[in-house]
Amino acid sequence: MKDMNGTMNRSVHKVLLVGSVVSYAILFVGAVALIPPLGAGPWGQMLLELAVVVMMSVPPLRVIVVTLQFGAQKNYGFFLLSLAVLIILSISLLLGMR
Amino acid sequence: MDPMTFLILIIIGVVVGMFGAMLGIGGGVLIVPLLVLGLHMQIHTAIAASLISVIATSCATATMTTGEELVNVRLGMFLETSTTLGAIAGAFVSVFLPFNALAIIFIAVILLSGLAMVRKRPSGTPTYGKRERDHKRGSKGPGGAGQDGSAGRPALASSYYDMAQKATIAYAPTNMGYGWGMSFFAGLVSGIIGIGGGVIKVPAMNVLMKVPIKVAAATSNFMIGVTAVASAFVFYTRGLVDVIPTAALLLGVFPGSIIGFRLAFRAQRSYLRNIFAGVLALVAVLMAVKVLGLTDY
Repeated sequence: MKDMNGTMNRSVHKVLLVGSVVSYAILFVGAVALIPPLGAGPWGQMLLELAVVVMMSVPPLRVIVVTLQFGAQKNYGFFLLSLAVLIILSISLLLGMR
Repeated sequence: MDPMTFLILIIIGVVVGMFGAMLGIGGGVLIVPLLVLGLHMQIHTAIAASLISVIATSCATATMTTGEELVNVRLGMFLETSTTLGAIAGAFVSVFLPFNALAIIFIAVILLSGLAMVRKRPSGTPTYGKRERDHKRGSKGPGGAGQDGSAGRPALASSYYDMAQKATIAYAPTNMGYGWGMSFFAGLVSGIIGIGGGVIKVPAMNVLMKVPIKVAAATSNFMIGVTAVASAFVFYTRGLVDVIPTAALLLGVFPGSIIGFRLAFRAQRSYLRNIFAGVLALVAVLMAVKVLGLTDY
């Protein structure tokens, strides 16, 4: 079987880079918004919460990219494995809300 | 939260991120005790903050291009099915466990991590099984341990270029059942006490599954972000994430991890490992003192 790891890792790398940079940028802005007198308003806390949510979203996005790539390569066994991981993560979110 | 505490948390994040990236472990083993003992944070909130910091560490180090070809994504996805299940189970166990129980589990993991730090290892030599060493001396290309058909999973077989040995190393993971089970256990521990789980996953992949140590470490780093998210979701939806201190930690952990990753190639790692092991031992003692109720801090 041809080793697809190199190709796959580059797309995953891009998702990680973009997601991490966006999250960090929001964090930074949020932290600045906490400084008085700006800190008196809700913006700082809201931005920090958004940044935390974006950071938590990066690994699942990574798994989505991997799943799509396995599908595109017609590697259905690993496509189903990756899909299973996504389903488990979704269950984690739903169970936590109960 | 006062500005000084916010700043202290950023500095803690930088230091923990640096050491974590330099020594190849997540910073979770240090973050939870620092938050609980230093800032008197409630342990479940500290665990939640630690899990999100692990996600940041994983993302930061994974964005480095070095090691890109080392990650075995197929193996990672296979093991991720069990790790995420373990992480969810661990998170649910954790939210109902009292402080003392969590602290005892933490002390055990800290001591194991410290022992792993000081354990002697052959310098620059990956830990291969015999089949991989025999194959390495011969032909190149994928196949590795699975070539004779008696061991190794061809579907998970891969290869990487080892710059130290200037050769392409092929391998095929074995003992998939044991590896899957150990990954579940790693996820369980990760969800209970808020660490990445690499301290269990890397030896499981390397020793049990006969995966080269560099590939095991890189694949583990690829996995720990997803593992941490599985349990972080549970803590977040239950309102156990305190956003401001978590954000302060993230502000430090992210650049700290990048700096630590870059310094890792120049630093005397054996020296750092011994220092880190000493710090872990001290933290274990302080946690034990708190559990025994010998102090008010």
